[in-house]
Amino acid sequence: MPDEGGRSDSTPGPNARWARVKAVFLDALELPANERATFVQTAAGEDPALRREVESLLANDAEAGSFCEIPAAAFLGGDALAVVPASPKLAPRERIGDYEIVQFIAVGGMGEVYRARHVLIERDVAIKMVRPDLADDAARRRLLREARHAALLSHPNICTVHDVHVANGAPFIVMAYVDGPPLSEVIRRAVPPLRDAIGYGAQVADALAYAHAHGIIHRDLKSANVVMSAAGQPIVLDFGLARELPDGAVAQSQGSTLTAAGELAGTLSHMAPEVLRGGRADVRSDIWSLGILLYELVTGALPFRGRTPFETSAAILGEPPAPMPRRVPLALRLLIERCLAKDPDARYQRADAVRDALDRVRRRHGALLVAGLLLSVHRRTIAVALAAVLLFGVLVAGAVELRARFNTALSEPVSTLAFLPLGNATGDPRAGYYADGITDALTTELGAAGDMRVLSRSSATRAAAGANSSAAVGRALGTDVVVAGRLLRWGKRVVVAVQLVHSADGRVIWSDRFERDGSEVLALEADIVRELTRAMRMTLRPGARERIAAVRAVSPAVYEEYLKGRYEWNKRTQASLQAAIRHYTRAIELDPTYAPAHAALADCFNQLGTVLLGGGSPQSLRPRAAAEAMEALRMDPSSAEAHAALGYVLHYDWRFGDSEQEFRRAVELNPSYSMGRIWYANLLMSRQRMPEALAQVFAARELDPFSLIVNTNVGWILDRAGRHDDAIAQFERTLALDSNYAQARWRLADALLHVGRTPEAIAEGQRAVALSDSAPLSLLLLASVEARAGQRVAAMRLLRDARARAGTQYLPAASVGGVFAALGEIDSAMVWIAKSFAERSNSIVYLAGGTDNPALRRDRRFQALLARVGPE
Amino acid sequence: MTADGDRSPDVDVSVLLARWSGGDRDALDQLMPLIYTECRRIAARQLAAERGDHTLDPTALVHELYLRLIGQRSATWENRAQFFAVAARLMRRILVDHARAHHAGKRGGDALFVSLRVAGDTPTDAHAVDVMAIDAALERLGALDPEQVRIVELRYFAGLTVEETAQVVGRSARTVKREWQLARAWLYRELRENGDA
Repeated sequence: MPDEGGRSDSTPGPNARWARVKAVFLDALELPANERATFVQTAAGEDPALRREVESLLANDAEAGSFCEIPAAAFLGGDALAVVPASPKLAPRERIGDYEIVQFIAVGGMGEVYRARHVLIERDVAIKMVRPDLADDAARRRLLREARHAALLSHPNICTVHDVHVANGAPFIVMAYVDGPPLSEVIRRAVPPLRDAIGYGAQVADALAYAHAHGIIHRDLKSANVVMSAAGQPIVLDFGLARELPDGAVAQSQGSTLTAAGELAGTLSHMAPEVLRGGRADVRSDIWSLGILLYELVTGALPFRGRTPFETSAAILGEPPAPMPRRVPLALRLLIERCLAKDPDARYQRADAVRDALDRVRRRHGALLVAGLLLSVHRRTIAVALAAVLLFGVLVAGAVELRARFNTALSEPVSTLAFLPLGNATGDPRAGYYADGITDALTTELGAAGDMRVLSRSSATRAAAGANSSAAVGRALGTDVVVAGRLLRWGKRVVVAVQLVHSADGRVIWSDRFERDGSEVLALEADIVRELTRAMRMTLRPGARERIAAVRAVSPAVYEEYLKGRYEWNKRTQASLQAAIRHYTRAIELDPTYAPAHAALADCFNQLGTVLLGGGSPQSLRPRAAAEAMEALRMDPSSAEAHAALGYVLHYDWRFGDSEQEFRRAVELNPSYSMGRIWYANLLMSRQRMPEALAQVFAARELDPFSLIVNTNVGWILDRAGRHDDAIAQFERTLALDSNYAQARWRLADALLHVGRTPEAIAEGQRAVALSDSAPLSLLLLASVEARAGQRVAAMRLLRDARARAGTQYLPAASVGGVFAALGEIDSAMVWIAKSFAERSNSIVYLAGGTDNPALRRDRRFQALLARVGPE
Repeated sequence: MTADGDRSPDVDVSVLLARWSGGDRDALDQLMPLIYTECRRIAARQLAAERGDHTLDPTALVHELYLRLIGQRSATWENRAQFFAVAARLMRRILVDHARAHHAGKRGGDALFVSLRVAGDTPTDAHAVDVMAIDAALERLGALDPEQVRIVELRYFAGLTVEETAQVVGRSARTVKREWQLARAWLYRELRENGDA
């Protein structure tokens, strides 16, 4: 019976008539076809027109077939709604940049995708064009940002993005060409065996974890976006919809400009409920998509099915996934269901957690299958096979790393280089120490590798701070080339992307990306040094090749501590040195065989024992420094740092000959090690070999033109060499770098005094005191200046102030003696100098060469004491 | 600043929908350009996606349109039904406009129809269907039975299933199925009698 519209209307009219027709037609439809004619005849009664009308409509209904059953738009072709003219297709053999089109592959979200080949190196790639209509500034910016991020992704299960190019104004992305069927196709043909399915899932999860760890979400993960490589590995394609993970602030203020917030991207069947509702995609919506993918992998079907998107979206929003077959292990079912929790908070929060859970399922499942047979009987075989697999993996990884992006000719040999601080692309500012540490290490290694001059990290850092291009830094530093790069870490992997830039014209000579496990970071550094020197066609120094080849593994935790130590060391304050010592000590506890930590620890003990820092008695610190330096050398005889640290100890231990031998060896091993040269210069100065001292200190300044310590020491040695005016000019240059550098100020005060500019000397001394927070050493140095300027009262007051602080701070005895000597109180002076002598203070070695305090120098006791300095 | 085209995209679509369903005919005219702009954007993206066949999935389009314009704000069954009704009418307008433009662009007045190949139940069961003719026939049907026109718009232009259509028009699925059957028979006859099918 009709449930509505079946009532006849007593008033005739088109609508009333239609209502009659409709009522009879609908009632007739309820009947079997062969009873309809009789029914219509009866129902129409006295109205033959009504009968004919209904019969006609029934006849047409029977004939209509699929008429109108398929929506109109499906046949109009896309252009009904498209505002976009089809972009001009590139024909096969057509050139775009350095690539020749092989064939058209598909139309992607941003534009067309082609298979192409690099014309020179004949490498097959996939090229993703940006649609001409999208090639406005916003789209271009988005593309470049996307590609720049994607290019830093290097993972065996992620399709590698090689580069971004522009040809005829149209940007295009070059990525690896992966030849294989989409996973969706693989699943459609046959559901993979469970073990394979879990394996594929774990690899995709690992790829996601890797991308998430440096801020990229996929947004459109689905089986159609995963290709099975010829090697049977799933490769995740198309991070084309991926955006940077917005941090809170950016999302709030710029959400609408960066990307239309809530924009629906992704494919409905794989879309998370919160995204379907218009929410923002995040790591957890990727986990949802991963859950769908896993479901497909193990069951061959989708968990949320509907005949239309309407039904599908209703299922996604409100229904549990369709039950999985019993053959799927319970643990796996639970795992997938957890990925598919409607509430993002109830899902796994990280992709690596899914990967680990899959691995556990696989192990359990695998154990059931092999039932201990292989594992117990053929344990050795498996170990060998595993080793082979690992080795092969390393070889493949190596091959990938060594592939240079491009390489243009370098006509002239490189004689100077600056390694700019690696950009910290981890997204975590706290990880800055890691990038700094790697920069430090690479600078050192490059310096040791060849005859080229490598500017120190501190100067490169300083020059890079204000510059707007790498080449500009190179020009400011006067180097032939600069190396610039970025560092990324995610999980256990470390990736460094570097390029070699010509300073004169900014040309990129070479660029490459290196990636290794964190435990192989030393090998990673060696890779970079090896490839950089090769790119520069540089001849390696004797021993350098062996050194590079002999890199060993270091545990990431150890290296982490080491780099944190370097970071603290570079700050050069008493507190930072104490912190550095803690980090190095921890590194050594974890791995007593790690030589660089021992050498660095030796440096810390050495610096802490100087009067400048006053961090402890040199007598107690020096043996510890010596022990660490020797330990470092025992494990790595080619360590320039360890030789220099040992030379330093020996210098202040008055074993001048041995010390010089160590310094010479250090400079030989790494001619670019500026601190080694500075300490060597100090030895030469204390032995009054001024021309040699100046040669070393000038060489150090070339290597490290912006270093405050280096520049101050140049001035100090010039002053001691009697070149007072040059020294004053040098200190002024140093203070132009940093006017708050106290050490340069009190050395300048000395130099000014030497040329009779007494009031200026006092003023500088006072500034030094203010800058060093009235540290005892600064007070004593000012006291000496005042005393020599004849200001006895002021000198005595300063001396009293300094001694008052002795309870809490180290009081350098030699400096107290210096004040008494300047005051003409030679007896008191000798008491303190003897005390300093007993302490074996660093200052003692410099007493001989000085010219200040002639009255003291004439004293017989002083001369006797000097004679005892040194075993010679 | 009275031109509809200048209207901010932030105009609340659900407010306009409520006004329209409350009898404000102007509201529909205000809604159309808003939805149309969005519709074209979604369609452009849909076409760009790796479908390969260069066809639209109108159902997906309308659903996405809904989620974009209303979903985030206030999703209720009432405004959902209103929205789909508007979107279906809009789709009809767009597709007919397109067919007309296409028609005008083809060999002057020679071509009477914009021929659309309809893949039927069997590959040989192909019909030439004129969207413009269906549109004209729907105008005539509207004089008899506006409700059936709504159902045709939802089914044929917006691509909804019978069940979805039933939810939108607030009738039982069974009723919609039979109403649709009648409308289809009626339209089929109209087109055939006019030599259109």
